[in-house]
Amino acid sequence: MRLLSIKLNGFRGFPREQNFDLDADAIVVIGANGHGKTSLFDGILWALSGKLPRLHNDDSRLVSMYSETGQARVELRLRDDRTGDPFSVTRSFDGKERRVALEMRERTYQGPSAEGKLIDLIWPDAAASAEPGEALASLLTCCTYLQQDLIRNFVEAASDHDRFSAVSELIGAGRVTELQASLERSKKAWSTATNQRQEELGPLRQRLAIVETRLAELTTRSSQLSPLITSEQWQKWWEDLTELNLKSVQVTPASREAPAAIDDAIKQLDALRRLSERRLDVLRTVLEDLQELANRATPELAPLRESTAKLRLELDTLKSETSEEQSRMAELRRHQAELREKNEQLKALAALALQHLTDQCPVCAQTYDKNATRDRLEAIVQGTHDESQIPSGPDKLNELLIRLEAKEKELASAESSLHSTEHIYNRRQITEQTIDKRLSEIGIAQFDECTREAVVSGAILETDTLLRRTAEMQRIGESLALGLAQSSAAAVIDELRRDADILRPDIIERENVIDARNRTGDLAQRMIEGLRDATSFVLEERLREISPLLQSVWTRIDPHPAFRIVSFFSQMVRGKGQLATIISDPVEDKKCELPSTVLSSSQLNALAVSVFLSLNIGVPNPPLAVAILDDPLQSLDDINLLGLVDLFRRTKERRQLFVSTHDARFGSLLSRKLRPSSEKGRTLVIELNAWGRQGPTVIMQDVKCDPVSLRLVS
Amino acid sequence: MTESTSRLTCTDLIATASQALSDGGYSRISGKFPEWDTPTSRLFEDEYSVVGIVAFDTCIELIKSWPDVQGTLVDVISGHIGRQESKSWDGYLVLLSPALAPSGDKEIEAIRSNTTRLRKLVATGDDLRSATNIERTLRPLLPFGQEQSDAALGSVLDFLPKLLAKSDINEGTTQLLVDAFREQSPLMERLHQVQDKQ
Repeated sequence: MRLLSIKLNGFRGFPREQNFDLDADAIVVIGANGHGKTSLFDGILWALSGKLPRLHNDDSRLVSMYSETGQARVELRLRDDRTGDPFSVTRSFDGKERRVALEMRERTYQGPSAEGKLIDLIWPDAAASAEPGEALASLLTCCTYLQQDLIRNFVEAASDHDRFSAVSELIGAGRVTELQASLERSKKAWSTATNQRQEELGPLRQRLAIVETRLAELTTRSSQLSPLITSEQWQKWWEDLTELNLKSVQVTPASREAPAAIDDAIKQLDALRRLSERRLDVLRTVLEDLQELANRATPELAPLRESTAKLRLELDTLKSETSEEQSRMAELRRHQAELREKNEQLKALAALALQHLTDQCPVCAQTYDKNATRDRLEAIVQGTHDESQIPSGPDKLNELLIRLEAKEKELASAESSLHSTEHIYNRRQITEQTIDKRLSEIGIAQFDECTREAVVSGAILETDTLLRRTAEMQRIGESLALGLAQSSAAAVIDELRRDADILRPDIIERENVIDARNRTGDLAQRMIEGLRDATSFVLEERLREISPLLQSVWTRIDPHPAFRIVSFFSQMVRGKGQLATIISDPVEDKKCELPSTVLSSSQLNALAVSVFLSLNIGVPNPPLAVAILDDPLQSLDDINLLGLVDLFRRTKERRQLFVSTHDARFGSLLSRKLRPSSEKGRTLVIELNAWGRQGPTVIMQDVKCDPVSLRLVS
Repeated sequence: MTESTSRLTCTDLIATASQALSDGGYSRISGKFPEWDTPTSRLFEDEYSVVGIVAFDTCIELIKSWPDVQGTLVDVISGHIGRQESKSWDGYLVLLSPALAPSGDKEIEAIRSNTTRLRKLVATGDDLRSATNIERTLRPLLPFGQEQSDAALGSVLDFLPKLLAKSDINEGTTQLLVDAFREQSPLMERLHQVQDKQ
């Protein structure tokens, strides 16, 4: 692929349309800083890839501030060396929209199809990349376009891994890395989907286990069940049910309502049974009561009540007598007390009178018998006179009290006996009433008292018979229900078997699918590991092939008197590739893996150019057979500069060479050194002068070859 | 020609250098300039440049004589090539000596760094242990040749089947994966199809 021309309009440092003829083996661009050298080369890169990584792909910086059209437009013409056909790429950007067109001999492509076709023409490998444009731009800036501001980046600033990635991309191993990454992503998604399937399998397995367990249970149980019910049994049971006056809706055993109907009927039977049991209990209790009543005579209350009343009267009389006696005795004791007090007073008076006894009453002056009076008084003092005698009567109170106590005991006994008898009587009455009530409750109201025991006994017999029949009916009903359940279980077994028959192959199929997916995942993992090794292997192989060239290029410049050997060193560290440039002194056998620590700025530039050119020339299938070096001569001293120029001369034989310089004197040297060796070759010098708002003044001229190629030999 | 361990002689140096330049497209100029047609000096020319090679037994001799040798070469060039011709600026003087430099590399380096009139390519002693060292010294004058390995090797992806076969992965399977990657088809599905068939 050879560049033929480029037309820039509104792009970067070219506000107006500017055509450049590029159809030469070597193009030397000379111009002071800021005169458009880099813009010219950026135009080539942008036209080819649509990217300018140096500007962080900021499209807003593409349009010249002085563009009259407000858009940046680049038209690059190339020639496909394989077919000899020219084609052109045109890109434009108006601040909003980007356009691209690819004009070929047979047709013109626009937009994405133009991008696709361009990639196909320049570097088909990039088509496999997720971002072909970026991959191409990365590749071009690594081995085709050595940018001024990134000139030492490769050997100085980039990390070993960045360097590895860049070179991997360069030699095509980048596609392997992308394939590996793509396969890893795809495998991750694949594993997620497989795990999802595995998770989905769990509930199915669980369901099958449940189905099989239930099936086993039902199968075992069904083998233990009694034979299925007959229609005669079924019919008779429902007829018997009707005879018992139970409300039921008879259905056929095969109907869906059969289990519910029989369940309802059995509940009714159960209710009837419970009712009968209660009735039987009542009847038996009544019978027991009746028998108890019959065994005990009705107690006679009247004589007891009479004797008790009589006793009460006698007690009252006795109490009255006692009370009177007590009153009499009290009166007697009061009288005796009064007499005793009077006697005492008389004794005192008699004693006093004795002391003062004279022949005449001192009060009334009557005369009296003094002796008789003395005797009387002394009798009074001695208490022996008649009036001082205290009267007493017969004491009957104690006797009365004894009698009263005995009578009270007798009455208490009689009352107790009466009370007890009354209690028995009342209880009997209550029993009678209870019997009546109970019999009434269970519907036996009209009966003769004499025959009621027989009636109750008959009712007991009748109820007991009903109870037995109900129980038997219930047993048969449950048997029928069981028969129905057995029939239902058979249906369930059939259904479960069908489920299991569907689930088993489904699970096996799913397991097979998961196994197959896992095998594919394992294969993918092996391939990922193989690809990882392959990336390293390919890189090492290619680097081994490129190494002599690198050494050759480095030797041609030969910038360092000691470090005359340069080589690549690659290794994989924790799955990440690393690439270093090593310089060594073969005489003293010294090595340095960090050239920036021992090389001068000038020597580092030389090393960067060496690496760039060795990769450019050494890559088997470069996108373009073009080497573009933007002002690589900065900081170089004279000897290194001469070496570099000689290197360019040889590079020109293998690649279409673009070199720019800001140094007019050096530009002149370059022009002379890169002159064509014959009329067949062509070297162009482009001078960019006097940049203004219209852009630079451009002078293009061919460098002529010497008239005679071999002067001395001839 | 003497190789490796034993030190090269001037004859070795001149013979090897002459061969390398001839292989590199240079023509030897013989019988025209006697001073450049001796056992220790030769003159070559190609379409770009004129190259004079001189071998010295000792570095002292080299250091002492190189200005005169340069002078004679400049005379040859200026005498036969017009100043307006670019080749008149493209003269190279190759100075070789198998001996070690007496005061290290400093004086030799000074000659190498001297860019007046001609570019000097200088190699002595340890730089010239073998014939390949001579070729290395002359390399700035030679076109890219055998060291370049730009045979069209094709896409790396094409090599993957054979590379992954070392990991016991079927070549056909790897090829299918590569095809799927190129077609941007789902990779795992394509691998799975292969697994299914197997």
